[in-house]
Amino acid sequence: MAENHDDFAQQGDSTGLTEQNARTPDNQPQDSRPIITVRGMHVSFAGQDVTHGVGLDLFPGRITALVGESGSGKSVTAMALPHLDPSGASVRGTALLRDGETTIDLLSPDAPLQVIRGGRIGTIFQEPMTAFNPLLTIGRQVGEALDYHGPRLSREQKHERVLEQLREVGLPDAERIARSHPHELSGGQLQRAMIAMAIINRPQVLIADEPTTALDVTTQKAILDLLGRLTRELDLAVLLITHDMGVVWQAADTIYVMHDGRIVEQGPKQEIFAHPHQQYTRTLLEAVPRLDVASLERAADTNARDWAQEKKTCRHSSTAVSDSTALGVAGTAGIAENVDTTDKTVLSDTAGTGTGSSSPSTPAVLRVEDLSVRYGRGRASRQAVEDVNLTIGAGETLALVGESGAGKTTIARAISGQIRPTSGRVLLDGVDLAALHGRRLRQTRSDIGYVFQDSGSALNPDRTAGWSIAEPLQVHGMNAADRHKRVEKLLGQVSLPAELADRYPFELSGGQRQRVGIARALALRPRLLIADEPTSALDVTVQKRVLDLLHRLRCDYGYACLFITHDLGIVQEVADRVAVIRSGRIVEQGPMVEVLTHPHDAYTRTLLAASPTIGVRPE
Amino acid sequence: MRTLRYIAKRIGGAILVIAVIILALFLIFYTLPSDPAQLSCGRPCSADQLTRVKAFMGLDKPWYQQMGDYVAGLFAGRTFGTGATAVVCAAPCLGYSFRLSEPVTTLIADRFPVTASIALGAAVLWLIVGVFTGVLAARKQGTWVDDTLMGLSALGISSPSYLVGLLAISLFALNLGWLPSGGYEPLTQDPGGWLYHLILPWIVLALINAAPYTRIMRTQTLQELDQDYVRTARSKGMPEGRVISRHVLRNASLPIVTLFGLDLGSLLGGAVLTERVFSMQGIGMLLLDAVNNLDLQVLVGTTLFAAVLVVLANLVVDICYSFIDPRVTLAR
Repeated sequence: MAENHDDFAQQGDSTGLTEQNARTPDNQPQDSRPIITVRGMHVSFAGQDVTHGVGLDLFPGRITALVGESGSGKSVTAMALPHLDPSGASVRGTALLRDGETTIDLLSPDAPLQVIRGGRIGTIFQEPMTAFNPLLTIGRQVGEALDYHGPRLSREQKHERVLEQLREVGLPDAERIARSHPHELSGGQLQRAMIAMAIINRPQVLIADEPTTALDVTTQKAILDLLGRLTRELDLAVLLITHDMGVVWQAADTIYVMHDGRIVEQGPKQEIFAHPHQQYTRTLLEAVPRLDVASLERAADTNARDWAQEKKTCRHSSTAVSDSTALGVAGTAGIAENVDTTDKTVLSDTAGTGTGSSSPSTPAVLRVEDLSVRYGRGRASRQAVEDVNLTIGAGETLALVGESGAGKTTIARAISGQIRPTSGRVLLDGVDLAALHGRRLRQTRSDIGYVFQDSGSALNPDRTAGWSIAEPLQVHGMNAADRHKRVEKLLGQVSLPAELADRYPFELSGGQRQRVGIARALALRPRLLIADEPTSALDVTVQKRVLDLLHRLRCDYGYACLFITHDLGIVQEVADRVAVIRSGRIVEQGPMVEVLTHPHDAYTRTLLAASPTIGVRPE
Repeated sequence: MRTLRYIAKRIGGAILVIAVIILALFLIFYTLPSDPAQLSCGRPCSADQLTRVKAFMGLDKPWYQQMGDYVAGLFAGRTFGTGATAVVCAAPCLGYSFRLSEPVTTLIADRFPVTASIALGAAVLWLIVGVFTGVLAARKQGTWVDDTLMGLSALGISSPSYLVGLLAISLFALNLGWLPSGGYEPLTQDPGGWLYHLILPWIVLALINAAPYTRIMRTQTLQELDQDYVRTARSKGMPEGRVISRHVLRNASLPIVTLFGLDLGSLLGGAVLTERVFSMQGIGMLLLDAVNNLDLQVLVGTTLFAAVLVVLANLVVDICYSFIDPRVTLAR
C-alpha cells in the first residue's frame, strides 16, 4: 500500500491562496495547495503498527472524510496530527502543515504543540457530554482556548469574544449557554459549543472525530450543515472522521476509505459513491441501511402489497438473507477477519412459522392501551409517555422511531414490566401483566425477550457467554443437560460457533456480544421480542448482519417484534409498521411504506428530511 | 435556589444525626455497670449519703428523664442540687464533672485551643503533602519517583502514630535537641513558642495522615487524566501543567474533600495518641483522663462534642461539594 495519493486530482496545483487566512468568496471548494500533507504515517502501539503508511491531503475550504469501521485506524491517524493520540502511541512519517511561507512537521517530536493545538488545528470530539469538564461553565471552557493563542485579552474582551463565537455557531442565547454547566445543555448545544471552542482562534484545520455519532438525526443534520457553512466561510480544511456513509454523503467533498490501517480508496465523493473500485468500499456502501423513499414510492405506485411482501416475508428467508449479505460473498477475504463469522445457513427446521404479514386477522401478541408513564412525584414529576396505543401481531415488526428522550425506552420498559405504568394497560396475548402475580407473572414475563442497546454492558463481565444465555433457562427450571443443548442450538441460530459459549464478554467483538444478547433473549422462545436500538453501537457491516439475523430469526420463531430505533434507514429495512414518537406521544402510526412515502405529521416529515439519503447507488 | 434547598436539607439531616447520637450515648453510658454516684460519694459511703448524691446528680430519675434534662441543659443550662450547695452549669451545658468540680463545657473550652492547633496545622500540612505527592506520583507513573512515593505511603499507612511520635522525639528532641519533646504554649501568649512546640506533632501527624491522601490522589489523577475532557483541554493548546491545575485537580479532589472533612472533624474531637505522646493537654487527654477515672459526665460531654464536630465537618463538606460540583444539587 504505497503512496497512491499521487494520482489525486488536485495534487500539486500551485494556484490559489498564498495567505493562510484568506477567505473563499463563493461556495466552490477552492483548488489550492493542501494545507496539510501527510505521507507515510505509521502509528504503532507497543511496537505493533496499527496504520501502515497513510497518506492524506487536506485542502482549505473542503471537508475531507476519513471513513472506516472501528479498528481501521482512522481516529489514531487523525489524532496523531495534534499529538492527541493515547499515550503509548508512537508515530512515524511526515505531516507537513503549511504555515504562511514555511512549513511545520506536525509529527516531529519537537513540533510546537501549544501553537498547533487550538491555534492551527482545532479538534471536536465524539461525545460532547464527556468532552467538557463537568465542573466548569461552558463560557469559561470556551474562553480558555483564547488564553494560549493570540493577543492577551481582558476579561471583558474575552467574554465578548466567547459570546460572539457562540452566536456564530448557532447558539443565539449565548449568555445563558456561557453561564451553563455541561449537564444543563443538550448534546446538540454542547457540540455547537465544542465547535465554537475549536474555531475561536481561527485555526486552518478542524479535525472532527465522529462529531455526530452521539446525536439525533435532526441535530446531526444541523451540525453537519454548520460544519459545511464554517468550512466555506472560514476556509477551513476539515478532516471528518466517521464510520457512517450517510454522514459522508451529507457533508464530505473528498473521501478516503480506510481499512486495516491502510487507505484503500480515495477520491471525490460522487466518484466514490457511484464507482467504488474496492470491494471493501462497496461492502461499506451496501451495508448502509438506506432510506430510499423514491424506491418505496415506485413500489407503492406499482404494486405495494407485492413489493412489501417480497421484502418482508419469510417464504425464501435463508436464500434471501444470504443474497443480500454482501459479506457472505466469496472474495472478501480482506474483510472477513474484521467480521465475526461468516453467516451459516439457517439451522432451524421450524422455518415458516411466521408469515410476516400484518393482516388484521392475525391476533395481536402485544396490545398497549392508553399507556402513560410519569417519572417522579408532585411538582418535580415529568410526563415521560402519554396515551400510547400500540398493537403488534405475531411475526410482525413494529418500529418505534423517535429522537433521544422521546420516551422510546420508557415504553419498552413499561411493556417488559421494569417500570409500572401510571395508567393504561399492557396486554400480552390478551393477558394484563399488571393483574398477574408470582408464578404466573414470571411465566408471562418469560414470553418477552429483551435485546439491549449496549451489548458490552448488558452481559455480566464475570460470566461466560454460555452462562449468560443459559441463565433465563436456569431461572425457569431447566436442567443442566437440556440447558447445554439449548445453548448450543441457540448459538447456532445466531450464527456463532459453539466454542464461544466458554468465552467471556471481553473476548468477544461487539457484533458477537450482540448475537449472544439476542440468543439470551430468545432462550425462552418469547412471544414478543423487544429490541432497543440493538445495532446503534455496531459498525455498519456488523449492523447489517445483525439486522439480517433478526429478520431470519423472526421467521423461525414467529415472534412479534418491537424494534426501537432512531434511524429511518433501519426502519425501512426491518419494519412492517412504524410508530413515530415525539415527546412521549405517538404522532403517527401506520404501515411502513405508507408512513415513509406519505407522512401525515410534520414531525415525521422533519425526521425524513433530516435522515441521510444517499442519492447514488454503486454500479 | 436549588443550592439553598440542598443546604437546608443537609442541615436538617445533621440535626437528626446529632439527636440520634445523644440517644445512643445515653443508652451506652447509662447502661454501663458503673455508678457515678458511687464513685463521687467517696469511701466509706453510707446508703443515705448515696441517695443524696444520686438526687444531687439527678441520677435518681429514669434514664429518659435524665436524657431530657441533659438536652434541656444543652440549650438552657442546668443547676445541680439546691440552696447553698447548688452547682450551676451554664448553657450549653455538656455535663458537670463532679470529680474536677467544673462544667464539662468549660473543660472542653480550655482544652480545645490545644487540640485545634494540633489538628488544623497538621491538616493543612498533610493536605498539601498528600495532594502534591499524589499528583506527582500519577504524572511519574511507573518511574522510580512513583515507586518511592508509593512505598513511603505504604509505610505511612502502616506506622502507628505513637511509634513515629516517639521516634521523632528521640531523634529531634533528645538526640539533636532541635525541638522540644512536648508541651504547649498558647498562641496568644507566645506565638513563637506556640509554633516551636507544634512543629514536631504537626510533622508526625501529617506524615501519617498524608499517606492515604497520596494514594487516593494518585488513583484519582490517573483516572481523570483518562477522561475525554482532558484531551479537550489539551486540544486547546493548554500546557500540561495548566491542564492538571485547572481541570484535573478539581475533579480529582472531590473524594479528597470528603476524606479531609471526616479526618479533620474527628481529629478536632481529640488527637488522643498525639497529645499523649507530646504531653499536650488537649481534648484527647481530657477524654483519656475521663476514661481512666470513669468520669461519665466528661466522657459523654467530650464524645458528644467530638460527634458534633464530625457531623459539622460532614455538613461543611456537603456544602463545599454543592459549590465545587454543580451536579450534586440535582440528586434528590
